[in-house]
Amino acid sequence: MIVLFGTSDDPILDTVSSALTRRNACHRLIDQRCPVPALATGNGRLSTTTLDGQRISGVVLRPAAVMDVAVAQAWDVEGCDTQALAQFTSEFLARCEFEPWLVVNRLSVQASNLSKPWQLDRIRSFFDVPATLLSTDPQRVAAFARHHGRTIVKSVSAVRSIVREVANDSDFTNVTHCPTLFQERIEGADVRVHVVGEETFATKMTSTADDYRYDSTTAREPLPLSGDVSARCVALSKSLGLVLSGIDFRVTPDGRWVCFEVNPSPAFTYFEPWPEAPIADALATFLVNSMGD
Amino acid sequence: MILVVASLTDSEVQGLATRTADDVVVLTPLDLSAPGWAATMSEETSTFVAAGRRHETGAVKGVVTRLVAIPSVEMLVLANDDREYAACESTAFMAWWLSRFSCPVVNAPDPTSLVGRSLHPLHWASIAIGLGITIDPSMIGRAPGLTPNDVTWCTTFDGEPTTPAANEIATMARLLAKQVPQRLAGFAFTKRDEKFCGCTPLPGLDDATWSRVQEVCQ
Repeated sequence: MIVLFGTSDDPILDTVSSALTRRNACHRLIDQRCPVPALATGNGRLSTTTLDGQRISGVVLRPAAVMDVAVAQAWDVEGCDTQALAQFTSEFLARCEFEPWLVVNRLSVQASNLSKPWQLDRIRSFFDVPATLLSTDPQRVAAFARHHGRTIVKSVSAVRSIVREVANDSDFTNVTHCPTLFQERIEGADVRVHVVGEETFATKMTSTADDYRYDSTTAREPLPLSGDVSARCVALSKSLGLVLSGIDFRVTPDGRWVCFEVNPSPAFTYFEPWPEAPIADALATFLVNSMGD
Repeated sequence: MILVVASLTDSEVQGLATRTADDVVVLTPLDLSAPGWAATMSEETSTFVAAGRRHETGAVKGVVTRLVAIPSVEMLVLANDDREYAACESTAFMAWWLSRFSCPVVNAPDPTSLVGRSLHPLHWASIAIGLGITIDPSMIGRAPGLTPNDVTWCTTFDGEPTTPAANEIATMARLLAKQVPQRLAGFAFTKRDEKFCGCTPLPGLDDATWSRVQEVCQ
């Protein structure tokens, strides 16, 4: 039995579910939008290692924030349904940390991108990373911006931010308020590489925006990967303990692969806008293979 | 210098400077809103602000962290609406910055916490049962919660109790300490029947514990 944990409107879980169905693989969604009694009893009977009487072998984690579910379902945020879901979610996620299940991915290993510089330090063993400064010192920031010519600013944490370029002659006085992350701007093509176990899938993005995610005209096409880059992507993903990852690169005109970050819970459907859904298929195969272990 | 990263309200830290011959400098969340921090990915040393003054990381012999995360309520220089985001950013920054020291850091951070990963009580219960240690049912919600008066703590440093403890409790604490990434940890047991009931990566800094921390920072 493979458990998909999250909400029924999650396109990633939906795609993986379809891929598992094509393989006749036994799987079930634990939908956080259902009141907990429906999750934990009756047909959804969850014991330590089984669901519906079937042994759990793998889990795909896409948990939604409990408060977001409560608001979407119009539950009282302090009411019984919300509290029960919070407890159920907390305990299920805790169990994913120590039960002998193949978990894609455990929250403890997803944590590496809660701190971008912490993760970049690990990435440096596998790929080039942009020159990076974290500072509250306006003079140091101004000198960094002058030195690199073009500089971008982004969030230090996992809080989603729009990456944007800052002018060299900007007023950096406000950086004194908290440590802020500046990086040299890397010129080149945006590439996302998804790693599923030992397999890699690369997508090249073409956009005129600083951050292609916010450009509705971004074009996406599959990109063949060299064996060397593919092997390093797999090694990087493994080093972070990830079964599935989405690695962001910019490939410079002289062929240097500069890595920005590794996404431990990638929304890969955006990067495979083709009917074959190869990433979901690879993940389903990986999960099915784990069922025999 | 021994650098102590602590809340503005950490009463245990107030007396540390008077209990040690070493130079103790306390870094609070207020220092994160001061000009003077500069750290790059490529340089091993960096500048930072503690107790309102600029320092070099090369002068630090040891670090003691007393915060799980930077609390937004202590980002006092900032407007109320900005504090939550700034605290989140500062925590992510500190998780990396503290991981870069080559000197001892007690306890070392990871991206989930400035004092390293903590386990869910269910996870602890699973570990304890695997070690043959009896757990209190309150740990897994099968009994009412305990009060501080119901519990006795055993602090360990590098796996050894730092304070006198009953033999049975010391033995259990040694076994449990091997399961955590932290050098310094506190394990809770019920006073009534010595059942394991919790763990903290932020135990109290009594004199004996502080002496052990200072020894490794020499």
